[in-house]
Parts: sequence; structure tokens; C-alpha cells
Amino acid sequence: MSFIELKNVTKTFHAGEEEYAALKGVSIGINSGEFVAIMGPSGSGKSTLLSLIGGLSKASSGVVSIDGIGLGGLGPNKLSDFRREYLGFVFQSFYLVPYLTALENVMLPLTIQPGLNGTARGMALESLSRVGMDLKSGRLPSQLSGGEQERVAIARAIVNKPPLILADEPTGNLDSKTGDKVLEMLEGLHAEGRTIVMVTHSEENAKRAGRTIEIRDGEVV
Amino acid sequence: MKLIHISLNNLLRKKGRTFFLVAGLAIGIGAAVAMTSVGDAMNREVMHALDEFGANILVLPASDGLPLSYGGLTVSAVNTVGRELTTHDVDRIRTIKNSQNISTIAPKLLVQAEVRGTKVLIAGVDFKAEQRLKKWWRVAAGTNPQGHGEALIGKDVALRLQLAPGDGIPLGQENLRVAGVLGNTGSQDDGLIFADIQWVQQHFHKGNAVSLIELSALCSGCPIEDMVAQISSVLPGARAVAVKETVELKMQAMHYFHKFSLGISALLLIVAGLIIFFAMTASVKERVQEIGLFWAIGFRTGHIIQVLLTEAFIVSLLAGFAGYVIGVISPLFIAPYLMSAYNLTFEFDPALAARALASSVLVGLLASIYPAVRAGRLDPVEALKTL
Repeated sequence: MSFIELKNVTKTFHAGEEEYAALKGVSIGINSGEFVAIMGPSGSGKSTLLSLIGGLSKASSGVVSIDGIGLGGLGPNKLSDFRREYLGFVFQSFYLVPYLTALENVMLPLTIQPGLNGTARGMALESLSRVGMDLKSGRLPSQLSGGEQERVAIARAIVNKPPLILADEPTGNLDSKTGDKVLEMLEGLHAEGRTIVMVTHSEENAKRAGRTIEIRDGEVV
Repeated sequence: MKLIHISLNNLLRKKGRTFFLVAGLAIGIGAAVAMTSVGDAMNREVMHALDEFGANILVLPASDGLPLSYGGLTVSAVNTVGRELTTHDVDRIRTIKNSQNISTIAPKLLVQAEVRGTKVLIAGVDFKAEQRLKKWWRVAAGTNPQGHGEALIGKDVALRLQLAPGDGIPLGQENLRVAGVLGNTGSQDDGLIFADIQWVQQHFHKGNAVSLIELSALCSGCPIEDMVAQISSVLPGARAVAVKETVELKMQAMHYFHKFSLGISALLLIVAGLIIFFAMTASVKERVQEIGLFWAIGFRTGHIIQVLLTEAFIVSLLAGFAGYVIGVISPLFIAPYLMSAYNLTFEFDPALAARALASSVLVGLLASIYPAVRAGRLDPVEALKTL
């Protein structure tokens, strides 16, 4: 059984009386430690796929399981706990909280983690150090460049050492040089044994992953 | 870092918004506190005015239970079975514990007489005390009595006996001179002849007897029942009665002002609550992506609600403090324009402060519950539009 397992997954949306299928019977298996790129044009369903793997939405039919945990059967709180323990998200728009410093943004996932007993700050600083942002830990997001913000977002995604990192167009808002550095960081995390699932438009970026899954019109091609 | 830091940082970063939010609620709370303060001051003012508005305690001789109506006030009885009251009893009343609450003591000697073939009731009174007690008295014709042998007569007596100022009222060997005629009082006073109590005592050979004693007590400073009990203890042969009509009128006035203050305060708090509600709703809309991020990194619904309600708690606590200060200081400037409450002074009232804080926090939290719960139920995918 794969670490990430999707079996005959369908996801439909309703727009008034019309029903629209974003994913149509998708079945995918991703092993632990893999670096997988999901490619496809806009509206193909790749972001929907990522949201299902991330437990942010539930499949209309089929099974989504991570590390043997069926996400469809989890209630809202259990899903939140699952995300906290298993996932690190890296977003195209960074989504740093504007009124928190870089350090506080990285500490954010740890504020709700029980049993840290004052080690959160150290963990966050270590995470920032890994992405080369420890010297700018006291700055607000508005005082950082786009690349620096993305690095802080990566530090936040890895601070609680999740086994799975989901990256949604992580270089979408960055210049090629900065984007390349972000991809290097993801490769580094992969090298440590983490599973990486990255949604991207770019074939160049997809080549950095070990495997590419292409989606068109809600189906794996 | 704890969840409260997220709330605090958001409030500190948006200082302008936080200030106006605190100010909005503080003004509501302040106005409610001011209404309460002004309402209390008005209550005191009205109570004081009512205290001076007629008698509220009657002292009668111990009775045999027969009813007596005097001045429209129903008391139990005046037919004596024990000793009569005397002018010495007036002095004894001044020795009670709450004597400082007595504003006027007006003894009366009621005597029946016949004038020109008509039976009339003569009330021997202390004119100074009587006029303090009956502020509604107006001398329609003539003047106030100046000497012992002068009388003030009611309007009906003047009409029935065809008496005018300067006329004499034949009472046995002596004439009582009419000094003035009272204007219409609409009370039993219209049918009475008022003369100096000492003159009546001497003329009718009553020694120092007194039929009854009327008291005006400033009962806002003490329970009137206590004063009645104190009078009963110093005058064991007499019967002291609280005039319930007056007391109830005072209670009604207090009740009216209390309800008025409460009504206006409630209205102001509702408006303040609406300000918080709309501000929190706008804040949630503004922070949709942030809330989506909280979901993505593992926050539970309860965590998100906790962050938002903590913000509301901090804002409403600050507003409660500020509102209390505004509320106790503003009446000092406003009250003189509303009434003659010149003696209104700033006093720290812990109960009012606690009520202001509790109301502020309650209004702030209640107004924020719905936006916070809605935030906790946001669809994370919708919130994070890139996914």
C-alpha cells in the first residue's frame, strides 16, 4: 500500500443546478519519500487533487488515504490534527500572517502543538536557519522580499517535521533564480526522506521531481 | 507564542482600527455609565425634593383602632386611649438616632369650634414648620400671620363665613384676626382655620396638648421604617405611622428613573454591540485567507474561534475601563445643564466599575460569537483560493 493512496476518487462541485466534476475516478499511489510533480493546465483538477490529499476538502466518492489513514472518515477536528501532524503546506502566495514576524509565522503551527514546553522558539529558529532566514527572524513579511517570504513559508511548513510536504505552485510568484533556490530546498527536504507533492505548470520544475503525474479534465493521463 | 499573541499582535498592528473599535464600545459603555450616574443623581434630587414635599410620618396618640382621615392621608386612629401627645414629645422626637434625617416637625392641635352658627375645625399649628411642610400653600389674599392672635383660613372657610383679611373670627370672648386667605389647595386645608398652636392651646385650655405631629423625613438617607421604630421607642404612648402614599410615590419616582436609565443604557449597549458585530464581521472577511492558513496548518475550529473571541475580549475589556472613566467624568460636565446637581462629585464606585466591565465584556463577546463561529466554519479551500 502506498503512503498516499487515491482510489477511484471523484470530486464534484455544484454551481446552481449544474454539477461539475473536477476529478473523475482518479486513482494514484505515491510512495513514502517520493518527490512527485502534478502537472496540468488551469482547471484540470490538480489543485483539487492537492486539497484532497491535504484533507482540506473531502472526496465526493472514492477513497483518499495517507499512511493508511482514510481521510473521508475523519471529522473536522481529527482532520485538523492530521494536517498538523502529517502535513506542511507551501503556497504560491506564501500566506504569511502580516502582523506576525518571520519567527512568529514559523512558530504558528507550534502554538497548537501540545507538549512542546518552551522548545517552540528554538524549533522555529532552527527551521529559519535551515532556509537561511534566521538573521531576519524579527522582520514582518512586509519587510521581506518575495523569495524571503517563500523561504519563511517553507520554514513554517517544515517546523513540525511533517512527513509530507504539499507545495502549490511554490515558484509561481518568484523570479527564476529565487524559484530555483526554493526548488533546491524542496529537493533537500526530499533528500532527507520527506514525501513531496508539488503542483506546477512548469515542465522545468516538474523535471526536478522524481515522477510527474499529469492531469487533464479531471483525469490522470 | 500562544494563541493570545496572535490576537494581541493583530490588535496592535491595526492600531487605528483597534482604537476606533475600543472607542465605539467605550462611548456606548460610557454613555450607559453616565446615564446610570446621572439617573442616580436625578433620583437623589427628586428624592430630596419629595422629602420636602409634605409629611411622610404621622405621630398620633395611642389609638382605640377607629380610623381617622386627615389631609387625605389615611391613618389608623386618633381617639386616644392612653396619654395625649404634648409639645414635649416634639423635643423627644428630635433625640432619635436618625434625627438628622428629619427636615420638619409640625405639631398640630385640632379643635372643633362654632363660628356664626357653623361648626369649623381649628388647627393650631407652628406656622413656620407648616409652611416648610406645605410648600404648595399660597396666600391668595392678605399676608401670613405675624402674631399669636392671627389666623390663616382656607378658601372654603372664607367663602362660607364671608371672611376676608382683617376680619375677626369670634371665638368666645376673643376674636381671631384673619391675616390671610389660602389659595385653593384642593385638600382638607380649604376647610380649616389655621392659628398659632400656642394661642389655640391657651384659648381652648388644652395645656400643652397636641393632637398629632406630622414629620417630613429625608428618608432617602435611611429606611423610613427605622425612623418610625425609633420614634415609637422614644414615645411609647404614641403611635408613629409611615404615610405609605408618600413613600410609594417616592418609590415610584425612583422606579421610573431607574427604568428610564436602564432602558437608555440597554439601547446604547445594543448599538455598541452592533458596532462590534459589524467590525468583527468585516475583520473576518478581511482575514479569510489568514483563517484558511490556520486551517491548513492544523488549527481546529475552536482555535480559530478562540483567537477571534480573545480579540473581542481584549477590545471589550479596554472599552470597559475607558467607558467607566468616560461615564463617571462626563456627568460632571453634563449634569449642570440637565439639573441642579451641582454637588455631583466623582466617586469610585467598585460595583458600577464591575458592572461596566462585565457589560462591556458581555456585549463584546456576544456580538463577536456569530462572526467567530462563522469564521470557524469557513470552507478552507474557499478561504485559500489558490488551492
